Amino acid sequence: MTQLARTAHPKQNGTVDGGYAQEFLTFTLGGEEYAIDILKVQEIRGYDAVTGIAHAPPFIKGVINLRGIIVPIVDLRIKFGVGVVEYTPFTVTIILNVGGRVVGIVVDAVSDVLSLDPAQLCEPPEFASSLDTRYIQSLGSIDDRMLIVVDIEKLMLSADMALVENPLH
Amino acid sequence: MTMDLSQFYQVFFEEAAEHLSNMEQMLLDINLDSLDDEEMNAIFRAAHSIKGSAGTFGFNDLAQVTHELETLLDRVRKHEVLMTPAMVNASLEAGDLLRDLVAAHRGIGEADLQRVAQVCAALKSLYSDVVEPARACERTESVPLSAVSTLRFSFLLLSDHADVAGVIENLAREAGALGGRLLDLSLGADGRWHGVFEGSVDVEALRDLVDFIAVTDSFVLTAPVTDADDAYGLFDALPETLSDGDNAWGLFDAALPDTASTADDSYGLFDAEPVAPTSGNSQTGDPSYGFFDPPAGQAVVDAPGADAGLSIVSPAAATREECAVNAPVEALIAPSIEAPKAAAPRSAKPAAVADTSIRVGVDKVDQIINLVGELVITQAMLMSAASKLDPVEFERLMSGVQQLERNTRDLQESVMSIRMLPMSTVFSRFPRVVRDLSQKLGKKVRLVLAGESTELDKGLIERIADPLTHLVRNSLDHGVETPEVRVARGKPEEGTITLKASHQGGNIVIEVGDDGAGLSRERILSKARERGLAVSDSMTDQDVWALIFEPGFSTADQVTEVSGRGVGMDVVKRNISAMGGRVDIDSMTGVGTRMTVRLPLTLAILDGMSVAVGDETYIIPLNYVVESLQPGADMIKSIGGVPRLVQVRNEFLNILTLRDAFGLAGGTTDLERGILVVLESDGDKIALFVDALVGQHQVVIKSLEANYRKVVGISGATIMGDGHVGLILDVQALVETARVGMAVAA
Repeated sequence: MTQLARTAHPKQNGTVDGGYAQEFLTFTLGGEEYAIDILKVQEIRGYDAVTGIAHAPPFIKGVINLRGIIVPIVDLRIKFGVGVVEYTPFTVTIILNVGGRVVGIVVDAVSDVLSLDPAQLCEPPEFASSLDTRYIQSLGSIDDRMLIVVDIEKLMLSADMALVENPLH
Repeated sequence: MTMDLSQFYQVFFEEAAEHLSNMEQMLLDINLDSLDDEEMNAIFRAAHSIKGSAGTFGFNDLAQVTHELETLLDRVRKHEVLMTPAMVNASLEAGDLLRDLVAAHRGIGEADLQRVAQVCAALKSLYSDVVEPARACERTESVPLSAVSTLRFSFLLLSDHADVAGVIENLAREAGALGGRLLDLSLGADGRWHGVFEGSVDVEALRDLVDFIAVTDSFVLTAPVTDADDAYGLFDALPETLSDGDNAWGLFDAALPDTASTADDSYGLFDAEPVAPTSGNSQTGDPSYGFFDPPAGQAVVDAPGADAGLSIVSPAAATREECAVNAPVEALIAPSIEAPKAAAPRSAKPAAVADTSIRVGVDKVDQIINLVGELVITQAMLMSAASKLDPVEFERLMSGVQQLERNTRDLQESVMSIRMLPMSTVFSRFPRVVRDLSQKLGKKVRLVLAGESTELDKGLIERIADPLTHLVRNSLDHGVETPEVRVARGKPEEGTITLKASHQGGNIVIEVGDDGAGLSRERILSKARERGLAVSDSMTDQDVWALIFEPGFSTADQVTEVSGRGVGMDVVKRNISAMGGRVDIDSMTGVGTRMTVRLPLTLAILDGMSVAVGDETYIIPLNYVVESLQPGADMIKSIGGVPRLVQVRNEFLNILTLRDAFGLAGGTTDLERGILVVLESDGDKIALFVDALVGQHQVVIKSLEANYRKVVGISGATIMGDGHVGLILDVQALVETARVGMAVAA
């Protein structure tokens, strides 16, 4: 229990300690299911025409105009190397609000809003992948499905994403 | 009855700060050899205003200091004493003290009561030293002082005085200062003002006084009064010298100075909590004057001046002398809220500025700016939508859209200018800084200011002040040598520090230059080694100079009060970088040093030229664009087999292909099929190669860094007419890229 509390997002500590469920937005990348803290999600929208940025890494698609603010768009499919990278009218962008910044992520599809209680979350094992385990908060299980709970704030503000001038880590 | 004045403290603090800075500036501008009466009056008024407000708000320490200062200035103003450098110094010091005291009342720091006493004593000693005035003596020779007598006079008031009561009130005060009293002043049926003056004053002085406000040569002396009639007896309570300000004066004067800058504020002050006026006073029609209720039982009598809308309250109670002081003048000014204007009929300069400004919260202005930004975007969208329509069929729509564009542009310019302040608001502090510091350091320094009218966003102005002060202090302390050294080196004894602001492209450039010793390469290098920094003798000068921005770096041999602790230059650099600017140093040993601060005009909405490369559209700030041309084959010159230069008239310009610089996929590489845009930044020119010119628009700069990070070659983003994001090119960086590219190739 204490271990779980530690892995959960600090803001959620109170609820996790109390055994309350936390809500997650789940989305798919290829065949994998990911979950992020729903409180970090600002909105979900279609994929708009982005303006490319010179010398940006390939997974940074560019910037869009979100009602007057300039928002960078990251294609997580490219970043994680999963899924089919194509842009259709059904391609979804999740606009996140992390660390005072607004960032968009492109995913294959948004699936659900789930409520997971601490018992359904467990500590991920150490492994090497394109997604550093540092950013995996925990693994959730619902029926037979595995949810990869990503600490999206930590990930987006990390040096890996090249989104910020002064990364957290 | 107590009134909670604390809600108005903020207004007082702001105004006091304004008055203090005005006063300081004027004191610094004073030319002791030819003292300008108007200037002296203005300085006096500033001190007086602070005193008045301070008294009202019960800031007795402030009132005490300003009282002494005011007394000194008043005597100078009346030519009773001659202004000396010591007086200027003391006045400046008093100004500093006042600023500290205001800060203390604001809750910043502690009020230093000892210093208050010291400054007061210093001021007092200055004005009480000189007993016999210089100019007054001359006067005595020409026109002998008459004994206590009564003069009747009349004059025609200048028609341009909108604020008659204020003028009259001032006249009454000035008359008091002359050593007499103005017993009556009223508008006669003939359109002339008739006054009765009693006191030991010469006619000439009175004439001078009246001439301030009267039509030239309209002053006429009528028969002397032998016996004041009953009505005039009312005024006997008037004090001898109104300039002899006591607390009571301050109490009432609060209404005056405030109105100078913002009439609303002070009046709001009184309106907010009206004190029930007595029936007698209500004639004045202004609740504020309930403040000055005469003690119960006093008679309220209509004075002869009633036809001019004046009502005069009789301050009979001798026990309440304070009230007695206030009441008549208060009544005199009652119909007007612009009394201070009258205090200086001839100095329209400061009054005009003060009277027409309003205080608005910055957040409100920012909100307007944001809204206008959105409006510009919407207008651009409409424009681009309309451009697809048939101009004949939609003629009216088209002309409407065009008019909208013009109006939007005008609106935008006006709104932007609200936030823009001239650099002089920052520069104005430096004469003082330089003066004090050069005295302290025993150096002779002349400060040259240039480009004070260059406008900069208010936010940046506020943030640039401290770094600039530091640079100036640094120049003065480290740069300029002592007079002896300068003479020994064959330089003029007096050093020069130059502060220059200018617009260069999309930047504001502020230079702080001195003609001092220059930076010493050896000293900096050895100091850097001492501090364990990685340096080598082969470093370029630029790199060596940049070392002084390292934290804890100081080459000063001695730690002085001013500098040498090595705290500062790094902070300067950090602050300027935080504003998106940068500092460059040029220095030559023995000749001088120049620090150049470059700041972006971040808030500006810029005029841009949009260019296309493949599918991408970029905005080039128009102020960098010199010309654009389609190069002919003969204009392009190659070096080492690669076409690198274009000959434009008799210049060879570096060609930078935007496609390559940004690693874009689309676009042409054939130089003859595209367009070369000649850009200039910092005197360097390059030819930027793009596919095509798209158009010219006004764009609202949006920060790319807010949610992303800095991108080399891009200074910001904007939203185009179709809702897409357009990137704004950082011409300066591109010019540098082109230059470095050449250097590498060479």
